Amino acid sequence: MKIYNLYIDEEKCIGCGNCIISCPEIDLEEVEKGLFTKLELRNGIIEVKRKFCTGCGNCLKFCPRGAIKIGD
Amino acid sequence: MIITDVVCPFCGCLCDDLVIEVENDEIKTVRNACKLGASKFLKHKKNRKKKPIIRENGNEKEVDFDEAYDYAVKLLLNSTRCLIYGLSNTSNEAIEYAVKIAELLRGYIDNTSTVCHGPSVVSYQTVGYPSCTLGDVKNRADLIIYWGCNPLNAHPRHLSRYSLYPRGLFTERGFLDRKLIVIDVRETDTAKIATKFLRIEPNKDYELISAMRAILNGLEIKQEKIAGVRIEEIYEVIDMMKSCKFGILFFGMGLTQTYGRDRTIDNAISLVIDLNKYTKFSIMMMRGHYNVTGANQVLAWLTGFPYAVDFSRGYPRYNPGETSAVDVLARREVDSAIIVAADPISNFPRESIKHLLSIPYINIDPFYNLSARYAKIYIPTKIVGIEVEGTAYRMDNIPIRLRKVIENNELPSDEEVLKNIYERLIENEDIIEKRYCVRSAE
Repeated sequence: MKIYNLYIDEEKCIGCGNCIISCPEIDLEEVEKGLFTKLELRNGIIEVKRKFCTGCGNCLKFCPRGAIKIGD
Repeated sequence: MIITDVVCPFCGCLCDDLVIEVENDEIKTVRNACKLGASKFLKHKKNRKKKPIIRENGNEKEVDFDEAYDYAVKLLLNSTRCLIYGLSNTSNEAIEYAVKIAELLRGYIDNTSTVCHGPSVVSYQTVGYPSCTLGDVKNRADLIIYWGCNPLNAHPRHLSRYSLYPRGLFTERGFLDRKLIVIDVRETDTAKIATKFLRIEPNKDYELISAMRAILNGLEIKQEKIAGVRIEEIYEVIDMMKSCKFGILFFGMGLTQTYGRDRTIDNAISLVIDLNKYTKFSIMMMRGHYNVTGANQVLAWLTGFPYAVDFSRGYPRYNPGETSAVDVLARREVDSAIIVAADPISNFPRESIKHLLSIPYINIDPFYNLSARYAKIYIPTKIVGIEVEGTAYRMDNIPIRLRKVIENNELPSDEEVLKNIYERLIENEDIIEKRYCVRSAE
């Protein structure tokens, strides 16, 4: 399966967390325990910890600010 | 040091899953908070003072805390009618002392809901408040309605923590199991991700709610448009409401501050009551300041009324529009004020500000805001939820204990300041009593 890069526009991101919770690749139990292995809400902005994106596009659909871009 | 389960003291969501990294009493990283919450933690040292400031004859001087308390008490003893205002950005413990001071001085006490969700409070006293908790919303709601509010700007994590996205007990697939309706006068960020967006004309909320209630009660509407919304769209929304398993209507200032005010909210609550003939439906206010709900709760349990309380007759009286802060200031009825954790000068009407600026007032706030810059005496305090513990109420009336993240030994808390002022006033109770005896004899 192809793995994509996620690019976050820090100016646009408001830290609502919609991308984290709508992502099927993220284990929410891990997030609840404070383990951030893929995406993290750090200092009010989304930060990508490592490449994991399968390109489903859920985060793009639900990001209210259009702050996310998926690329190679 | 990493501190987990920290509660965010910014908005009414009170997100309690923050993870904060502290190094040498400095906040380094804030995880799980939105941009608004994170900035409160990361920039908590901005705009702060270390000593109280007294303004006399155009000069400012820094004094120590004991001197500041004595000065404040002297100021209050020299006044005949005092207003205590604010309280929504502090803990319940501090609010309790504010009520005690108001009662002792026979003054007015009001909180910031007077200029935001005041009409909602008046309405739920009239028609009830069929509400639920945010946990119910997370676990059960399959239809979310945001009316006159834009949570993605004001409560950024509301959708991801409580309403649209979380995977709950009966909503296991998260957002796939839910629908979102947004009703607003403009296409907000929240409206952009909605399943259905109704753009209504400004100040026509009452009309639209009435039309919805008429349809629900079996009446036929002949107009093509109501409040700028096509009738087919209204029918579509009504069908979505009737066919859901558990619906929730969140409403904000877009509904409370339009024409009709409390009557509009009466109507919205009645709409929810009508919907309960078909399915389970609830309503909830989107509270702004993190403890504005607590301010209403504490005032209600101590005085019987949620805001705008007048103690001038020796017992609590409540009549919003007469005893609310904006009105008593505009009528020039008070000759002193205590502003606690609020900034009325930045958002009150001009007439009220004019009078507030003409009287001596005490400002108790962690931040040196606009109101602090014109106060006769400004007393800096610790920030509740960052430098001191305290209890606050979430927007669904659930009390949550805020945690202390870093030490601040230089400043007292809001509670300590108000307690000190109260205790010093009690020492002078005979002066206050004498004043009221004279007033009642007159």
